[in-house]
Amino acid sequence: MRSVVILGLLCLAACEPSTVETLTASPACPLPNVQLPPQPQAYLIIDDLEDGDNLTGRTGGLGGNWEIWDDDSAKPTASVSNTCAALGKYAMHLSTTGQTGWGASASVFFAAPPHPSPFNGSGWNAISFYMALSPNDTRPRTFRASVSTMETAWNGRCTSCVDNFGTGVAVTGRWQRFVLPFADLRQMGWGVPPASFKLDEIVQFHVALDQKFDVWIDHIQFERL
Amino acid sequence: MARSALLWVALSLCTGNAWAQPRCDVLLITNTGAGADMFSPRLLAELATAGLATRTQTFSDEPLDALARKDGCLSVVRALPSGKGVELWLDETANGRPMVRNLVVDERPDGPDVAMVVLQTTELVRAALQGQSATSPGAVADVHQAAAAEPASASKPAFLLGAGAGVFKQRGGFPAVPILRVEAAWSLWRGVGPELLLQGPWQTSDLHTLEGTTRATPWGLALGVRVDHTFTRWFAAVGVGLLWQIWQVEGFANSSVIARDQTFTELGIYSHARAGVNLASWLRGGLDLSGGANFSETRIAHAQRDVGAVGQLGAAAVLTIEALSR
Repeated sequence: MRSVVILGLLCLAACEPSTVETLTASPACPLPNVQLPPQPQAYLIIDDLEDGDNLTGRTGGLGGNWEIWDDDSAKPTASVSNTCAALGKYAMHLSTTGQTGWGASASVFFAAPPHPSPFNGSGWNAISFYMALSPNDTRPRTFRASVSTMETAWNGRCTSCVDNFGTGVAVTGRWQRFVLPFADLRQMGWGVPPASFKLDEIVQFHVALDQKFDVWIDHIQFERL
Repeated sequence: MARSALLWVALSLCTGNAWAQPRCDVLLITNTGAGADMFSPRLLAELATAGLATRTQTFSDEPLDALARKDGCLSVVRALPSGKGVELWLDETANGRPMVRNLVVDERPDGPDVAMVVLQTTELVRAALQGQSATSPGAVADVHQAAAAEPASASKPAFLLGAGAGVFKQRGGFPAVPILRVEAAWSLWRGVGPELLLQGPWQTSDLHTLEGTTRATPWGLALGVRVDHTFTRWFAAVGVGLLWQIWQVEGFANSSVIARDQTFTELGIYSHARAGVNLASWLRGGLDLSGGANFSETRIAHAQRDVGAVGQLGAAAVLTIEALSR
């Protein structure tokens, strides 16, 4: 009788399903990407961060750099880090302890300073990038990713600027690749004067962050789909 | 090719048809035709157990003495066409006695007692050849050895050692893996007895994802009960019991993830069925199909993502070779 009870208890213990994690994300990093990288017809890497600096590539007419704008309420940090990456070893890590105004944003200018300067992107019809939330900030939410032109960029040919051509991207704690076809990008409508998307004078890739963020961005490139 | 070679070696060993003209105590004429005799398989086993060098030959209706001389054998045994017994030819001239022909027949209406006919025949041959010690030194040692051994019997416990190679596949995403198996079984009563199987892979089973690879190495230890039955030329066996699986899983990272290794065990049940051919009285080969399931399953995750499982339903197909000892 005692043996039967012991055997029953052993069986119950054995029936408990369990999980073994043979590959674990680093506690500081987003979960890895699980999408196979697509194969565009052609592409131009704007910045894969693998050189460890905040400058873009220098081929195909590129010559720009990263800039972080904020509302001056707190000081966001932006660093090229080899702690985590969607591809390769490096990615841009952006975080803040908490802005109180409009927040902050990350920009990648395509052309060399002074900004804004036009870049001829007519050879491409999309821009792609990887983005994820840090494990410290895993509340999934949507950020607006956009491309500015000389008619919408800050200090461009506009009186009410930065109403860029963009769309929302739903970012999670796992690395995701986002592809933004230029044809799908729209202004929000408050820019003055209203602009048309002129590919031969695009200026920057821009991600509007909110008041509190801890995000990673990696591998931005132009694509011809 | 390799299997054919193995079969040939086994048959050569069994029939004594080796390269160096081995001695032949008994020539057993087997009838493999439509009216297959029921004595030959058991005779083969009993004569071998008695330590008598036995050679087999497919059916021939030539006179027994002619067959004996052709093959250089000291005795010849052949089943009677009536199916009620065997005829036996013995060369006892070395003992000063004539060559004799015996019949071992059981005339009972419900058919002959095969075991009795087989035992009597074996004893006749053994006793006759024992008297030839002066002329056949090789046979002396064998006969003495046989006399010291336990008497053979159809109900005597048999011990079996086996080995096999095949393939194992378990549900859960991991690919099939080639395996090797060794086993031992003991037939205690009418072919029923315990069995022990140990199974391991000779290659690992790899599950690839974008995050990396999990390499699984499944080991299995099974303890159960086997029911084994031997027909004239064929055998069949089934078994059921408890299965203890040991899984070694290793992670290999592709990118910024951390790889971990782990070993864990699963308890389950298994069953198997096997059929094959008797290659000799002590050797047989077959195909074993087995299935099993663990009481629980272990999910495999890559960076919080479920990618597969082990411990679910599994199956194996294994080619086996078994050696029996009575």
